[in-house]
Amino acid sequence: MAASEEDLLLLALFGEDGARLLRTLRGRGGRGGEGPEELVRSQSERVRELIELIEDSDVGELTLEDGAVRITVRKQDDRPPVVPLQAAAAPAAEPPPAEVSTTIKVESPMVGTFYSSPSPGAPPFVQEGEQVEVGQTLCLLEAMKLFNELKSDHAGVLRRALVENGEPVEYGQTLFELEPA
Amino acid sequence: MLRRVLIANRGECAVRLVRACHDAGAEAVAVYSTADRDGLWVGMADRAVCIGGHQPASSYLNVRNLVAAAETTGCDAVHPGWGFLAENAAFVRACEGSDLVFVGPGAEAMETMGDKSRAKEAMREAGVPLVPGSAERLSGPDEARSVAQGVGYPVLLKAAAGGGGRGMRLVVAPDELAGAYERASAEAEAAFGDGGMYLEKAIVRPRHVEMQVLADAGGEVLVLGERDCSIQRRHQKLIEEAPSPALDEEVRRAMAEAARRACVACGYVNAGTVEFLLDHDGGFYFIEMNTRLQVEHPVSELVTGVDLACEQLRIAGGERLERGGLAPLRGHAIEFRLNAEDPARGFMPAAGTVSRFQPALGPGVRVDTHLFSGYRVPPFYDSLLAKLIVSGADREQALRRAVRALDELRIEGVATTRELFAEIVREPAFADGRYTTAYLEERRGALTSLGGEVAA
Repeated sequence: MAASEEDLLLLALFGEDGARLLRTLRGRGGRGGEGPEELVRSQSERVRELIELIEDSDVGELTLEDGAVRITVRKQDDRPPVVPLQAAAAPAAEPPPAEVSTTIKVESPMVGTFYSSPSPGAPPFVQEGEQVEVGQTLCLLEAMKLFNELKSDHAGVLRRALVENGEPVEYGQTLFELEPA
Repeated sequence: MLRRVLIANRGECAVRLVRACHDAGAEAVAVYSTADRDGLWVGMADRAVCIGGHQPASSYLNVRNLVAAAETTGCDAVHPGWGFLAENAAFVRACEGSDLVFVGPGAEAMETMGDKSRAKEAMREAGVPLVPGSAERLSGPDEARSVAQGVGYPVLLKAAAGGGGRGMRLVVAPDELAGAYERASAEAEAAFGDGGMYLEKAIVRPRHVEMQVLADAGGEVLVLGERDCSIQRRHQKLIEEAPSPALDEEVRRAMAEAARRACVACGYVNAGTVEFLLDHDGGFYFIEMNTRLQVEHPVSELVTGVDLACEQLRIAGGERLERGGLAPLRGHAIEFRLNAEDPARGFMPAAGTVSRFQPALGPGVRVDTHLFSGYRVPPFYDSLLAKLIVSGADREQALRRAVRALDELRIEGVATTRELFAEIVREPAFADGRYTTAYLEERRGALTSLGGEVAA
């Protein structure tokens, strides 16, 4: 059934759903006998199925070729495109785009005000150069008068804090950089 | 007057509200999800905050992040727009708890009108005409059966806690009632977290006519005329116009008076809409009140000369209405909702990139949109891309401009409802103004844009 590496990827990632889509494509013909309207309609159907497939997955981009038609569906976020030759590898944590490094970015999961210490005047939760353990409190994030502790998901050395005490932060904003242990 | 307002919404709604803030002399703070970084409103606002991931629950429905965004940017008010949290009393309270003015009614008025059974009770007490049916939420399918017997079939089962057509079932015969009750209740539970139902007589082929209201903190109410929203598909509005071709002055006054009473009965403040069903004999019945500004507000703006969004900000800032009563109506306006849907394929949502966007312009043409050429339409939110609103000195002129503007408008790259509207405005059935909510169903065979796939 798979006629290309991209088809292989589709089957590897989505199993029966992907097979169903490929059968739809193969069965549609699309050569001769179909007017431009039908081609447009079947294309939008394919697009819709592709969207449904990738929406809840970790895949950022998917391309299908069928004869003269190439359809790419890309998620509207910053994930890098999937490279077909690495079909065997699952799309894991994305590396930072411009650097070749192992640095882990700790991003804010909420909107609020960043506090580096448990209370005014107290020493900060973590210092640059310090070893951080999984579950260790890195900072407080305050919203609506409630304070939330942000705990580290990784162990490592705190490379740098990118936000200052009392600064407002938004969702997804990088707060710290860790060098994994 | 408010200084800085957080706009807790996205898309063309957020664009509209940024403009209103600037027209009113206030700063606008926009919010966006990770899927909306390129949103037009983000760049138009004075500041912008990323408030969550693409799923609405993570972002546009995230009360904590929205309030925090207002707090951290020094806003004194929050405008919820429509949809999302606009009719969520918990959100109102969360804003007020953080000393943020909520641009809209109070939490109590919202709760009264948000629960369909409580709303009907309040309207009954206020002498507002209601559709015959269950006075309050039904205790179960057995009570449904006896009420239905009393008012006569066909009947409509409706969700007590919701709207927009969900949790709603038309029941034509008694033997269908039990099954329909079960299904509607389950749908309501899933959509609104509340499976409570009530029952009404189904008015056959009604028109949907709603009244726009503004109320201030001093209790003054201004009624800004009606909108006829009868052209619908599955209870989703497609075309709205003001004034309604079906209303004469007498019915208009009576309906406006009923809308005014509705506001007074629940202590309403700020902008709202009172919805009625209009029967062919001129009788009208309250169905619900929308405690927010609505998508189709522009048609009322064009026939009254009132900027409703700016009035909302003024009222929220403590100012009073200049006058109450009935706003004079002048001319005619019609709105078309350009949705990213393919009418020929059962209105299937269309996705993709708008390769080319060109608005219609010129006399009597207004386009409210967040589109631009090259915009990638995210698949996570509602499908409204743009509203085309035409106006004229009378309905004929508005219709001629509608024909021109729908031809001039270009949205390429995704399927939209544009061609369907271009057909409808040329139809005698629409041109003579004598349509009902059954219009699309009745014209299904004749409208080639529908491709014969409109579901009932």
